[in-house]
Amino acid sequence: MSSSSKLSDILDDQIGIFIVPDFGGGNGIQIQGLDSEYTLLLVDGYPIIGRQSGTLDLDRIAVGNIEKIEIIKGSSSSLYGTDAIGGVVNLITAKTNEPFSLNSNYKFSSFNTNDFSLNIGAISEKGHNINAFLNLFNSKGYDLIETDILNTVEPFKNLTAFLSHNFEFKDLSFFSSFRMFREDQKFRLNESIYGNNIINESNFNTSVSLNKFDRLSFVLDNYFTRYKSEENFSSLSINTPESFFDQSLFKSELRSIFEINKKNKLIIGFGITNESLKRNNFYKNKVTQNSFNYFVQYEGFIFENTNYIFGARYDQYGEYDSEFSPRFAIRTQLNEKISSKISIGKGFKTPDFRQLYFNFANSSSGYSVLGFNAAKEIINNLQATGQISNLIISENEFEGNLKPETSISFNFGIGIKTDKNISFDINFFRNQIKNLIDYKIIATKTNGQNIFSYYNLNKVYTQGIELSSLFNLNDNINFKIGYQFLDAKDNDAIKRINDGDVYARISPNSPAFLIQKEDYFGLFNRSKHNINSKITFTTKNNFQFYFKSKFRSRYGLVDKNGNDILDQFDEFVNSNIISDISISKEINNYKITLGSDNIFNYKDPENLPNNPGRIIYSKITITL
Amino acid sequence: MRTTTTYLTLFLLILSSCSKDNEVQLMDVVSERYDNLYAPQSGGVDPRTGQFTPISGEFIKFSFSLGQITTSDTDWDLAFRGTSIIVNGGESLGTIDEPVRTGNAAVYIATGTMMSVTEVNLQQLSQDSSVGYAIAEGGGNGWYTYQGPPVNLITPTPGKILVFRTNDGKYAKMEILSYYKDAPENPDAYTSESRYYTFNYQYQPNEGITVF
Repeated sequence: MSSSSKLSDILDDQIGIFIVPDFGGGNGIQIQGLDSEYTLLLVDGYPIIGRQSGTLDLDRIAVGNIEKIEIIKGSSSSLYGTDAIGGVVNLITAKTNEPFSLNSNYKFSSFNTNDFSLNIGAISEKGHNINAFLNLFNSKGYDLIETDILNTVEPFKNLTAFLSHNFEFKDLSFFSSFRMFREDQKFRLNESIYGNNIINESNFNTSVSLNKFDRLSFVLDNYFTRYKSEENFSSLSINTPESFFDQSLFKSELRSIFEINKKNKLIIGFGITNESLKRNNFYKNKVTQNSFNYFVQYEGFIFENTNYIFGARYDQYGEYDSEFSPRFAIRTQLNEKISSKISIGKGFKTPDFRQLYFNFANSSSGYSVLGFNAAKEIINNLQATGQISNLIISENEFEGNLKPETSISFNFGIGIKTDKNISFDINFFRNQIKNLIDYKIIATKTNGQNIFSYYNLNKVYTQGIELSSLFNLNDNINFKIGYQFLDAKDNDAIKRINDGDVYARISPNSPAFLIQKEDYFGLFNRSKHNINSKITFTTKNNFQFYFKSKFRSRYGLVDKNGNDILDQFDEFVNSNIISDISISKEINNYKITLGSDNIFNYKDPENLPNNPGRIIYSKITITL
Repeated sequence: MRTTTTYLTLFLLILSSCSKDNEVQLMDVVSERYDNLYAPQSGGVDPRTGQFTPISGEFIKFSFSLGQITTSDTDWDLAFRGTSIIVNGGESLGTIDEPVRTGNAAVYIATGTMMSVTEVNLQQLSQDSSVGYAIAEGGGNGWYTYQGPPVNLITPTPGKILVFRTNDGKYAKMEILSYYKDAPENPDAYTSESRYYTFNYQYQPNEGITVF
């Protein structure tokens, strides 16, 4: 078992799930070659927000109270709506089974990192099930490039608190939970500008189920969450504006579940979502959006051994086109050992508020970025006052709305379970995405500055094979391995190459040449081969050994030669292996763990700033 | 019909061999590389204050026939300032310190390599005007690609060949290789000095010849 308490590490421990560094320095989950922007992250079924630059920082989520992780790969907007293009990760919090339970641990690791967790669960005589969780985390941060004054990661501390309550009363069952997170990190822009970056996040939900009727039940969910981040300067700064980001989301959903018979089930529901955002560099003071959704799902059997799920959802928006997302999945148990699964579904992701309302000027590099909706008016004003020297897009490109990004995903898998001790799964997947949103230059100002805006530009696909296998050699030795082959490319880039429009240059000292189809590497930050494996071994006297390795084949982060695509002549991050090892021993209620993450100390400061190198830790856990 | 074609071919053969005889005195095409043409600018956005002042500063002029930069007011073909490239033909955009166009230079951007662009497409040539330069400004529009944050690099777009008519009606082609001093292997937008052009060019010194 991994001894980490942050989501990035726990997900990294899942076979067949690959965590990669995101743009901006955080860790993101990449499912079937799709970025973390396209993965929906839920806690007990409720979405986590606060994607300040598109991606969700997985280090923000403490997982000491998470009992189970459900991962759905492939588009499933039919059930979850927006963002469920690559997949859905649902974290299920633990509920105690005992009148009283307590679990606490403390971990000390490199970079002066302290990590303390406490879990308390209790069931009252009347059946109230209460679970509380607290995590305190602080770290001195680290510095990979010592020649400058800035640290790669500045010192930070954070706190997570969680409380949940379950209760059943006659035909009603209640579930409510509250979670809060607060982080305080130092930040430094340069020698004279520094301060603190504070994040405050809170989530609150209530869920009521009514099971009064024989085969019919109702569930009403209400959820409110807010994520707020702000920079406070403690230094004197005249011209640098303080940045802030304040997002909130309210969701309400009613579902009815009708069990037609033992094998057939119908779910019908509708929901309403209200989302708002205030931030700096924004065209409007505050943006709000309401959306409505209606969904239906039918689960049934065709033959004895074949069941299917058909689901569909309709999301209605004011700012962009409404989306209809169907999904169909069928599973056949061919015999005792072999089963097959096929699914086809649509996924979508609405443009985020930044892509619509951003109004950002980078004063040092001299360019600005406008959201699509903001650009309409700002460009008109600039033109009227004669500040545009070159309008690159045509006027009619401003008409209409920015469209949601959509995907069609297809999966075909076979699972083989020879006996209790060996299992083998293979899955073929393909995701075809269109209307991918990217930025491009829309105009040049008379002062020579470029103005960028967001557009539905690309069509990309990701396809590949996933394999995962499990061997239990005996009760004491477990071995798991996962492999993914990935082919992820931009359809338009392929066309441009076929048309003979793309050239490359090996170095700034050599002339350009026409590139060939096989020179195209594919999308940035994608490895063709990913492998992760772990082995656990328990001795008779209760020592447990754990060894995990992950392999990533080479991948590119930067288009070095300026042709807009990643080709063989650009710069690559070399193939690498990162291994973690630990040994633990249980003595009565105590468990002591010693370990090292990234034991072979793989580092690449230039390309991987979020990899600090080898970490050594010790941890003690008490369970009552 | 066939006879006519044969005669025509014969005629052309004779004609071309005749003209070959006349071309004995033709000058060779000049193939050169120019390193570190420094084209600074003033103004723009002050990185410290964020204040914008209009861009100014002398354009650094280049003459293909000299193979050198020049300060001549008339005998120049193209000129550089920051990422802007102008030609000595057409009208001024009217920015501060912009030189008057005195010649008949023109330019277009061909897609290809120095090897593959062998002939000038006269129809595509255009000149600077009061609404914009013939070589469009901005990353991705003209000769370079701008890679946004965090890289912030200006990279000459591979496959862009600038094809010129010189101020006195001859032709040249150019491939820009680097925008950073000494054309470093791995330029860094924060430490490498910018606005230093390194380029290859070929100049056809013979009047009226549009091939290289």
